[in-house]
Amino acid sequence: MTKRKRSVALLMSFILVATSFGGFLGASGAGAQDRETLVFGINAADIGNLDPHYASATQDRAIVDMVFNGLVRFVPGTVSELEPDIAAEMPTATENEDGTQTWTVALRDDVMCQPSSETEAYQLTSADVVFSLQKAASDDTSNYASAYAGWTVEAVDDQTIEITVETPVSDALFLPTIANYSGGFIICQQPFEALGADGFITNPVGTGPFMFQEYTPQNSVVLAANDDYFRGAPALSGVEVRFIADGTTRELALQSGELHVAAGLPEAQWADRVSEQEGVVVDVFGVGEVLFLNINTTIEPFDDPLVREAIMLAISREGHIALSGAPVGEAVYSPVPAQLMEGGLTEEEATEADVNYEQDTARAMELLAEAGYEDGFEIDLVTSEMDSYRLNYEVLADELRQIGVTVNLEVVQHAAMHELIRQDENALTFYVAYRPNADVYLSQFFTEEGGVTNFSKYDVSDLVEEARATTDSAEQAELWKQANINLQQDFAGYGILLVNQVYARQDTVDYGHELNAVINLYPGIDETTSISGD
Amino acid sequence: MLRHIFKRLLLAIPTMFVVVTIIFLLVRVIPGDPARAALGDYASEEAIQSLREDLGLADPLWQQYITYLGNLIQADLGTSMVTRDSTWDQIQFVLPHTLELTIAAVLLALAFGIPIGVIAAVRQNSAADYVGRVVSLLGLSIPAFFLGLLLIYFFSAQMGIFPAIGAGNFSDPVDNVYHLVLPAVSLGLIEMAYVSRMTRSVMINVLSDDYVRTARAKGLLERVVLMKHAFRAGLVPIISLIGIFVVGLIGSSVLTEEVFARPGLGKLMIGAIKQRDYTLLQAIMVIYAFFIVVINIIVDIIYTVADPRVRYE
Repeated sequence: MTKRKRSVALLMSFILVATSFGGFLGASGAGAQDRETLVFGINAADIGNLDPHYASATQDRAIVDMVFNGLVRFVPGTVSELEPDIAAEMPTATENEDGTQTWTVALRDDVMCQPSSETEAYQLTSADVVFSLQKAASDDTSNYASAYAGWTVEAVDDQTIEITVETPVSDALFLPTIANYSGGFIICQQPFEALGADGFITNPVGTGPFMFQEYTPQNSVVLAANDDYFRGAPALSGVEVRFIADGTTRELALQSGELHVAAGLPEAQWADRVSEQEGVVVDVFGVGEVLFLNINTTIEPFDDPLVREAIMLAISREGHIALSGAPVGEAVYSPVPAQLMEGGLTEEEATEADVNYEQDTARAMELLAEAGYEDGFEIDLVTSEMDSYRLNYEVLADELRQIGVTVNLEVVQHAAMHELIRQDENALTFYVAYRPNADVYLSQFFTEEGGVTNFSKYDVSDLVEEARATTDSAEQAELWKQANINLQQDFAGYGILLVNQVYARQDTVDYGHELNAVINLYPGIDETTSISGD
Repeated sequence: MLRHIFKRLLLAIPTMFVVVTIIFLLVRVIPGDPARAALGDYASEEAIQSLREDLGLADPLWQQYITYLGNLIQADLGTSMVTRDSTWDQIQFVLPHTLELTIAAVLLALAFGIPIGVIAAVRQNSAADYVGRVVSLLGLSIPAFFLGLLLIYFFSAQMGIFPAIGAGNFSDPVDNVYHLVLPAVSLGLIEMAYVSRMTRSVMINVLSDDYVRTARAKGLLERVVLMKHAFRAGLVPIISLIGIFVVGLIGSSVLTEEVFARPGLGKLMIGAIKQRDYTLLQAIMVIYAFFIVVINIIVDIIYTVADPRVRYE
């Protein structure tokens, strides 16, 4: 027993000495380097897929944005303006005699493909760009192939490519597809082929301001500064993206100084509270994910427009916005958000078109009675466990209860919900999504082309096709607006709100740009981002 | 003894076979499509179908099962359906973090729980006993994740003594221990509550046994009576408890791993469930089942050492 006691005492002493020493090291170990590594706590448990042509989760989009470039890019901190990125200047289009359209893109001659574990750094050429766009266009190698359907991409010379599209499109539709988002990110051919498609999932190699250095499952992705970056060496020595799924832990780690930037909670209260902490700044900015309602127009009793109208009249946007609170939550007046892109309806436009339905439970009950449901009815709905879905379904259930409709809500895992709603399990489907333009929103959710994600079984294909066919941006926007009016007039879909992004940072962090909106769902960290001395 | 261990190991084979079969079927009962989860909600139906075929999910269930068993017999746990990395590589990375956390928590629980329990039993209804009972009750009432957050708040955010997040580097033992302290204390305090209560209750029973009275009547020192006679006899149920702790902590440490943003087996399993990564989930559960079997065998062996009455031969 004496021996055991001694062992326990020794162990405890070791822990104490080691931890004290560790504490000492931790306190004094902060770098004396010229540049600092920014530690970024992101709301995720791990990466999903770092091949930019598959990346869709928030954490994946943020990481690939730091590693890759597009031919053009959204001006940092905005989503309304584009500027050349890998392209030397903004591409121009010419109409061909055969009815096609050709976009010519001249490339910068100082863009370097980053080195990888298998390849050396080399100058990016048109061959890489052709390879990347062809990869983005293939269903076998990209999630975003549909955006590149009907494209022919050719290298004219080492620094010029031509993209021929079957049907002429406007700037507003074409340029975002070659921007720094989704399939528009340019992948260098040699490292991709050397690492293989599977290897690229956890080992991305691009041309951006930061280079992939290390991936530790469930823990972090470490990026190092790419000093050969064509816009100049980054002000940071690197970025360490830490996966921290718990919001309170992120907040406390920011408070303890272990994080420079932390993803916040999408709640105005949280933003207000944390911004009161000394040395911490909270940013609320776009792009927000839009919550919109889809009503299945083919399922009884929702095949009756009176019932669908009653549902719309039962809903209060304010009730849903209250879940986040302004300015984190903002009202939208169509599934396409007018705040973020052309083609959405503003409050005035929706009101003028008579599709801005104010909550009116009395009228809703009258409509139900008219449709033969004076005693209401019962429906079964499934929701994801994620707050952004579950809480809104709960509010909806309460709203519908007020007009006599009983909702039996079943909470399932997020992936299960996605599977079930695609099997038409929900007659009323909330969807939370950001899409880069009105065409994608409308075609994915309100046309036959959308397939299983056309939850309402409503079709605005004619207007979407017509909008695609015009190269006049103003006319195009009007057609998209009309599609939004139609689908709300027929009570098939309804825009409720968008939820902005909330991030907190140490006040020593300067992103290097104003923060209005960032398409890749994080504040945007690039070569200009810096950390000033404490 | 060796024969007994060999018998237990042989018995473990059919047990593992049944477990593996149940795991294979269970993971496929969860609604949700791994291909859709891997590709995200942007993916076209064609792309999802194509990935389903690549992953072998389009094959009949029996064929998937045969392939799975065949690979398992060759010690191939498969590749992740999401990252396409070897599942064993992923497990190999997180397992040491889970094991060190589990071991540290159990050691802390024993180091403090047993003495508190013994003192409380010996000085029943004294101030020390009441303090011990209150501490135990607190430990049983506070959820591990909440205690974790409290520890982070005080020791990281306020005092800046220990790191709030992450796991240390194994190549740097100091850094490793530095990162381990708060999570281990968070888990260990709760386990300590169980240990101290169990120890107290066992010791109170044992101390009233005839042989203890006899030992005292023989004039033995109280320390010897306690530790040599009473405590040794009371050790068996505590050993069972330790076995249950170790098995339970490997799986249930997920909340602590989540709060401290540490890699770990529990967190990996939750991620695999969320992403419908069948192969990774199967691999984790096989490893977990393997641990249960091994720990049970170890506990059996310790029984025989601690209590000579437990005979196997």
